[in-house]
Amino acid sequence: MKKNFINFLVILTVVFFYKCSEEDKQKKIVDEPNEEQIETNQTKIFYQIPSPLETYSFLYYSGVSFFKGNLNDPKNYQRYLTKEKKALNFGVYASNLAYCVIFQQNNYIIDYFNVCKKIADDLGLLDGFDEKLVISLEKNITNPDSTYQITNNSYFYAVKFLEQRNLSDIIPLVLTGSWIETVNTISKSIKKFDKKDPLVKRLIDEQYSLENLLSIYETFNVAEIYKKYYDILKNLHSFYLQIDNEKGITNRDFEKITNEIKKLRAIIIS
Amino acid sequence: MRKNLIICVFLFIINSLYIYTQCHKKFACDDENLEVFFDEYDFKSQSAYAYLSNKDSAKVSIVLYSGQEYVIFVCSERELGNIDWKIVKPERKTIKKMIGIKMDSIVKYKTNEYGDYILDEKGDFIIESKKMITDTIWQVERITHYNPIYEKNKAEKPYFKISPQKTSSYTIYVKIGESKVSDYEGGCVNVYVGRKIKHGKTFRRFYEIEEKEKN
Repeated sequence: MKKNFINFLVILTVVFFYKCSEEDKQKKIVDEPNEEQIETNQTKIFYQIPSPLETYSFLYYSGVSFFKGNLNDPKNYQRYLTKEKKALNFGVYASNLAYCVIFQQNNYIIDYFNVCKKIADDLGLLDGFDEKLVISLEKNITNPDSTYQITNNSYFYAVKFLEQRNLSDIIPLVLTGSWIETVNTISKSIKKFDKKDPLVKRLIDEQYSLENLLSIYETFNVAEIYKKYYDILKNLHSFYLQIDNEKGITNRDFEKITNEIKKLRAIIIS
Repeated sequence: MRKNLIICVFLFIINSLYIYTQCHKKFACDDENLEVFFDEYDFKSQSAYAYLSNKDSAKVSIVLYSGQEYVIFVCSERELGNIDWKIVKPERKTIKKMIGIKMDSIVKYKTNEYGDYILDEKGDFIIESKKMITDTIWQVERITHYNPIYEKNKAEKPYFKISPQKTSSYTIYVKIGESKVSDYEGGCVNVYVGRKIKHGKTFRRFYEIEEKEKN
């Protein structure tokens, strides 16, 4: 009994110190040059990436048509055996699901919800994608408002679950998969380069989400661990920085950006 | 039996710790002036939820897109007392200097029928063609100034509405003052970032207009 009690105390102590070390890690990020600072004991930092539903709503209202070729086939799920690949492709499939929901592609919604659910189960995500929601989605498949709400809630609860648990080995990867799939869809929806095209402008605007994504890697100290992805994202960001403020984006800038997006997406879904 | 009991107690404590910090499920804003926004705006994209204690602070970096309407406010559990918060917009200036010219190659990789890059068995991209071009080398320096655009203590309204002309990132700073609760307690502080839900096709349908112009 004594031994068990000691074990119990040891585990509690480990949990306590783990939480403390996470707070310390976050505190270091506050000391950014030029940035207004607030002196406090602890600062919790959140870098937000807009949900794919928000971006796909923009695409939908811009008059873009749905293209099946933008999706990652749910059958590819079997290829993703490691936790890293599962996390990345959970993001990719969640983005695909959002794309199908916004463009009301009822034939695909259930398939993509199910593949998200499978990976969520594999990763141990308890919130967001559960059996009840699959049934609810099937019942309401012809109602775009309901499918939007269900998908919106699923993505929200899954991401919040990761945030609350501070799962540093999963969060950056899920968000990378989701973001890269979404920007890849934007870039593939651009038929011909025209710097006045709202889609081209949106692709440029995605640099702000990219900056937050890079900050997430740095906050969780995983830039070295996931160097393969971080370096491509960093390279992509350097191309964004080269866009001339006054002259705007050139065809060459556009090619460099879309090329890097395609490369990272190919690595992720392979 | 005793071992099982200890495991149950342990799991209960861990679970309680988790539920305790689930501010996105546990707590919603109960201010009548703010409740109205929950029908018109979607808060599930960029809101942040934190469990904070006395003198804690939080920083939330968000992206607001042009052509959208947003509302931002902060709600907290009453026990935490007054919450000080403000929104800061980074104003960026990029200075580009040409530092040289280099030879660069444009590599064309093999794609599938959907235009996606494909990899070989080793996981490498398959090169289809290579073209050498001259490319300018730029030195890019970015200077950023942070301008407060909303401060709760100075504002008339407990919320901030914005329709950005240009897409930009914004930072929300939240600070907890001396609250009624002791140092060892805390509460939920939720930073709500809402995007107005559009009904109907309110965006300019660029491609449709382009098609009409062609005809």
